[in-house]
Amino acid sequence: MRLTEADGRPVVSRASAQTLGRLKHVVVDAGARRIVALHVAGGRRNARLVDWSSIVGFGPDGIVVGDDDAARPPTDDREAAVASGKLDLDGRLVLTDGGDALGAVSDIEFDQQSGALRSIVAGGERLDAARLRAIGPYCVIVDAAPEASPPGAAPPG
Amino acid sequence: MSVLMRAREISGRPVVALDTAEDVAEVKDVLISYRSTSVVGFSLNKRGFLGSPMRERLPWSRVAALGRDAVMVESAAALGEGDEVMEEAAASDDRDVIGAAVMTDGGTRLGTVEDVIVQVDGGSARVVGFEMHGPQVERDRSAATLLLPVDDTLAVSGEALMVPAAAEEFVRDDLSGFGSAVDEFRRRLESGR
Repeated sequence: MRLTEADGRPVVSRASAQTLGRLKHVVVDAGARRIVALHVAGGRRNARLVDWSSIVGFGPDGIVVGDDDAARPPTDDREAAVASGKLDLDGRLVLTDGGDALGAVSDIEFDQQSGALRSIVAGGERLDAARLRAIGPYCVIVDAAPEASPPGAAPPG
Repeated sequence: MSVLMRAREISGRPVVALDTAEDVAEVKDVLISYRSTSVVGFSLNKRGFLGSPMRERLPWSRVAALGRDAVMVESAAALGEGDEVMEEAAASDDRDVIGAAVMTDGGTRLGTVEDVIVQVDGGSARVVGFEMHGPQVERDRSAATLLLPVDDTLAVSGEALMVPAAAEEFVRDDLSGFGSAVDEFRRRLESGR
């Protein structure tokens, strides 16, 4: 699942059948390489977060959570930064740990069951999520790609 | 893989912490020890428009990587006191080689130093040459600048870069006998970016 496809999808409470808001941003744990929470905007209260663990169904037309209480206010600086858009991944510069820029983030791919990140799309390339090192106010840092072996040098098989 | 960079291009690059992905400073000047012909560290400015100079320095030993777009450090704690070699390089303003005259040991002034060429190779950053500009270069070559490999320099001060009289020959002789090395140098410098 690409985040650009899920962007704006309604987040609905199973208990009340009410829409709590729409998916606006995601909170990513860079170390665990997964989405840990969704920022839901446009509901009755602003800047609310839904933990990934509260999601009961991530479907094409809506993200269903257990009940209205699944939406909570940000509890730390990082969550507050995401909710205010300061850590928004979209458009953020990607640097390698070697100090070379790879472009701006245009999308992320994730597993809609687990929230695990699959890849980061930046500069027209899909970067394996295993390369992710840190997400910060200036940039996203990824491991530099291993240097491509010269043609013919690859071992057979 | 080694990359060639001009010192003046390194100035202004952000210093980014690998742990927080934050830009903690930006490079003001590249501090060079001419005795060891290596980069010993960086003086720093605060980030942002009209960033003011910072007291902290970044010694080369605490640089995680020097890339084309940023200088990477493990964390903001890398910034701090400079070591002795660095402070010596930083304190001697007269050692700023950019703008210094290029002088042969025969007593001819060839031009002025435009930039310092740094080769970054894994954990080291060595000065491998100087880019110079001058009337001799303009008259004899279409290119506005000339590269002087560091092996051909004898001494450096803030006043002058001393080169062997032979260097004048190659300026005059359109780099003959010296050309392939310089062309290779120039080619790598262009393809480095």
